[in-house]
Amino acid sequence: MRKWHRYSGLIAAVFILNLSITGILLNHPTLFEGKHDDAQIQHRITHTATHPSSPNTLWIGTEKGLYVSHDAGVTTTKVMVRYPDIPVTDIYIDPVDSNELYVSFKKHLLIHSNNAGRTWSRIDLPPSIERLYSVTKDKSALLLTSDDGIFRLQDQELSDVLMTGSSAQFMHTIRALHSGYFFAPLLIWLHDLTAVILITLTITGIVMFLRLKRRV
Amino acid sequence: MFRLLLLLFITLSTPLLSLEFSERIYLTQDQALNTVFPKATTVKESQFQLNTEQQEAIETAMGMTLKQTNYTVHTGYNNDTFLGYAYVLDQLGKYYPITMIVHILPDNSVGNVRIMVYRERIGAEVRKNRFLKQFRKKTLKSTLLVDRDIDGITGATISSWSVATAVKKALHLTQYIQHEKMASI
Repeated sequence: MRKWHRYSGLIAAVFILNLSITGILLNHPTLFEGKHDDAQIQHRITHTATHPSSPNTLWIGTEKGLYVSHDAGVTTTKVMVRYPDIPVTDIYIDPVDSNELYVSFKKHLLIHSNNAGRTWSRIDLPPSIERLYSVTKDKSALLLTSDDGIFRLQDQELSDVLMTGSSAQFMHTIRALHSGYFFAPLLIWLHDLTAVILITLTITGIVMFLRLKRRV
Repeated sequence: MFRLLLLLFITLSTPLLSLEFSERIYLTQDQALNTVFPKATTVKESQFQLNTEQQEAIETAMGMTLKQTNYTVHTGYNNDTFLGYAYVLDQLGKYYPITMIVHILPDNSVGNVRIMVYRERIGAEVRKNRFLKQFRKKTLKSTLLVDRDIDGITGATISSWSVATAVKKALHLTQYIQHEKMASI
């Protein structure tokens, strides 16, 4: 029984090391970023949208901001919006007036341009919408998809259209707890500290196991 | 042990309250002006309005729409010596506006930046000097983009951007004032 316990512990230790080290590295993604290159997309593409009347114009959402291409993606330029470089979740181009653009970002951010991207303004969102997943238009109202369902936003007034069930919200909370987003980013250091403790315990545990094995 | 666990739980639960409005006034306007113009014998206040052309020029340069066209500028003097401009600006943070004062030195670089009112539960670290001192000596040529020439604050991403945007706006407004030869106001 003791032997079985020791070997199981050794296998688990490898997983704990893997989870702890990758967890710390994932908490600090900027460590892996190269130099900023506004002409080259360096992050995962999350969304694309083509201009309805100019198919060579391509709007590209990435994990870190918005890019545009005017030659069907051969070259790209970073759109210098004065908003955080957080993941783009959706790009909506109004099919009636293609100068009207909406871009939603993951963390409570929705921006709008009425001049084909020359200038952008931030649309005030109610605090109840934390994360945005998509944006589309229904006549003059915006339809926004968030964790809690689909909302209609008209003249800064929010009304719900379709709410997700309690199980979806429950699972979202569970996911947030698991990933640390529930507490983070304020307490990222606590996650890092816990991971370092786990790594230390695991490595010293493996060393103790090997020493014990050698003695036996 | 129980107390320690309770303390840990309360600490971890704090972000859950983050949506609540939580106004913290760090500086009144008078205190803010005293901070940016400590040696001033006179501080004058004047209003100005951007016309459509000026507004569009700043919007194009900044890549963002200005929701406000009326601004107040404070000019500080030590007797006859000009000490610069100061703007009290509201810039939307994650949910609520952040009120700050931005001081532009006579050489058109950024002097002091101070947060006057912060209204959100988390992210008030943007008022710390280690963040704000990064803006000193920045000019209109500086990009003032977080992760480029400004290091953002973890946990206050949007607030960091908001402060950087307000500082850039103040630099543009100063350029406008000088173009308009309003330095004498």
